[in-house]
Amino acid sequence: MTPPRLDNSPPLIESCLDDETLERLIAEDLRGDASQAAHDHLRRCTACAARAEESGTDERLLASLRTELPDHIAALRASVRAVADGPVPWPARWPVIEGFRIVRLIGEGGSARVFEAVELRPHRRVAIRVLREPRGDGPRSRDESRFAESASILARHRHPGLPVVFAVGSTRQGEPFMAMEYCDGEPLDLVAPSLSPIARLTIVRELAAVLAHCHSHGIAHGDVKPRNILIGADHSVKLVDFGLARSLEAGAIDLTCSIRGTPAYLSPERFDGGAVDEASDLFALGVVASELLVGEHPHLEVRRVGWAEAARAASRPPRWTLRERMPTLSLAVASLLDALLSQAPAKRPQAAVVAEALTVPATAIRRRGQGILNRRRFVAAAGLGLLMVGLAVLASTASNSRPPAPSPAALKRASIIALSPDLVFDSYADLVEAGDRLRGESASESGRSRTASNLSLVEEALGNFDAAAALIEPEVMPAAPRAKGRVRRGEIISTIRLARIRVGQQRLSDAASLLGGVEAPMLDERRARQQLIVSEFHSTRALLLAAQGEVAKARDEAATALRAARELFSESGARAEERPSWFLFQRAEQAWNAVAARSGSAEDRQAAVDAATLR
Amino acid sequence: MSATTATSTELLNALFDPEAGAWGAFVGRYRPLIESFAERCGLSSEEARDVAQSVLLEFYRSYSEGKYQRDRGRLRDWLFGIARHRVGRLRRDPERRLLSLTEDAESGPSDVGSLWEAAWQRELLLAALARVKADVDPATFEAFELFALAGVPSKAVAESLGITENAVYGAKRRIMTRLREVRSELENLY
Repeated sequence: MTPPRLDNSPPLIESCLDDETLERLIAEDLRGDASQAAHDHLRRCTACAARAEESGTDERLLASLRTELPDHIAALRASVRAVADGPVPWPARWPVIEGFRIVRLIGEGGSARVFEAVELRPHRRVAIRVLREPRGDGPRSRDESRFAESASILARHRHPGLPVVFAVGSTRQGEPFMAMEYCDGEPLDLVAPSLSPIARLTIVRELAAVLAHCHSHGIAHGDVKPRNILIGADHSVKLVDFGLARSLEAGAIDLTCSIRGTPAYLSPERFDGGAVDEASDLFALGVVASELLVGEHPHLEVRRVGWAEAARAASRPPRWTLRERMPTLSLAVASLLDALLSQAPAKRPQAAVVAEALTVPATAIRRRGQGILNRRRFVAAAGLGLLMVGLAVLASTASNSRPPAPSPAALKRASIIALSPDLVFDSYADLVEAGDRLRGESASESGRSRTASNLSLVEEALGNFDAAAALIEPEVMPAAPRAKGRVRRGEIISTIRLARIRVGQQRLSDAASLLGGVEAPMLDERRARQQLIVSEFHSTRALLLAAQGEVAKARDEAATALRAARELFSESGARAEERPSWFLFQRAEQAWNAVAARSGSAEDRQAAVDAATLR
Repeated sequence: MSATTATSTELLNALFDPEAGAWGAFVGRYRPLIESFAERCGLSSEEARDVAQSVLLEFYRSYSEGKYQRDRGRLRDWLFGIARHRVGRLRRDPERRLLSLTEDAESGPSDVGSLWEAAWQRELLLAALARVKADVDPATFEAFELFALAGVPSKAVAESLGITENAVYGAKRRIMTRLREVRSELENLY
């Protein structure tokens, strides 16, 4: 006799499910009691659970999928492993968000957690910021409204330095979330030690530009600090975490009156209860810039301090100024950045002014004993330095899209770029040697007048290399041993060798990816940069060869340089005001003059005149 | 014209009509096949790209000259003829020193034929997968990938996607069935 049912729950199924029921259950074809009973049975019966798991498996098909998609499967597994290794047990405490799959926890702050996730359609990598579960009634509403405000601020104001917001909503657990562009970068404080001075200045400029954009749209960030600044592999800047941001529009007054933010980056007036505004962002920009350029916090010896100590420090003048601590920085730029730390908010320069002053970061650095390098030398130096940096940048653009077969021209371009570091280094050694020989010659009476001009050309070329070397490996070349305004030659060579090893290691892989995908429409700017490097390189080479009396080879080099300059000239026609080619024509003119001086040929002189005319 | 739904006859008939975009669809369908075949023959991916390019161009030329007749064989067999010829020529190029791997593939046509067949099966499978993926709900596809392909336990998949375990099993079942169907559809279509 069956026991009487005490409630109206469906009867338990004691025997195993037959095939049809199992299939219908999986196909979600069962309804009502039958479905409930089958579910209950499946939960308790391991045999049926195993059958359900195996249902519909076609081993051959699976095996061929696994053979054909090894990379894809490895990536899937890696994302799951990353999850399993995470600090939070997966997935118990993780939010469930429709349309997304959470991959890992990236960071956890006071009020929110940030996850890496995959949006399912369109399929893309995203970062999801999820507000923490509320602790009580009061703070929740305020956090939520701040969260909503930051989402709407980001959604309204697009800028390359701000993450794009894709979606806003609530998780299944009811917490507000915001899905944003995934920024593939490291926080500034982690990458800072490996950056060159030029890269650091570039970052300050980019950061200032983002803040200028925000401020011009009436938004203050409120929590500018290295952790919230993500640096991409190409030194691009993303300002993230708008959790404390507020709109500065009239009427949007911050009534919370509580001080929030990171003590080491708060302006003095914020400690006195002042609201988040442009001036407080500018102060934080000043702290970040000083810290980045010098490597120390301008107010604090230790960064992790309590509110009281931070407040005391912020209310005093900084321990040092950039003018004192960074003599290589141009006075104008140093003073501007120092002014960001003014006690009086009104004295802090606007972010747009800071960005503008750093338009060409290289010009903000001067060399000992020489004042600020003249513009021409800097472009040359920047060109050579960029040769190194350019490789990585080019490789990364090239790999973004996989176009069909590259054209011969593209291949040639790629191979020039891939080969040039070596050529540059070789020609440096040649230059040194030529200089030595010419100096020896000029000691004798007869050759003096003739070699003098050649020697000055070589000296100038060497000067360009010096500047390039200073850009390539600044940390290997401490300021102290620089002798009498010129970097010692031996040091340069060893510096360049060091750089060469590093560049060499990367070169093969870079060249490979360039060859694979260089056809991708390159940004004008990158193309221009490339052309600039190629042209500058050949001009230098021509000067050197002419100085050595290799007229025919020098002529070829000068012709190549002029051709590259012309190409750049015609390509950059659209943006006449930014045309970098004037300088290249000047260099080509010099090269041709040097060739003409050696050959005495009227044609060579004409080529020099042509180059001068184009300029 | 879509690379995944048009029959090869439709593609060929529209090949010279720039409005139809058939050439793009044609290339989209056959370029990966030829590249995959060439790589299986031991060529580098750059060489494989070159081979694919020249095979497609040669096909275009001979088709426009009326050399290829539909009733004289399947399109993919015709392409195979050109591709085999191109790969063979590249291999015999004295300028090119190829590593041992390919030397023994200098063998009879049946071996090269099986490489072509393998490449063909792969492309069918990938095309079917892409079609199924576009047809089903993203969460279902994700569940299939994680559970069936990556081998993640069904419980974990269910929890991370916010669906039931049965739905995970169902996703696998439905997608595998659909994959088989679509693959055989494509086999007839191409």
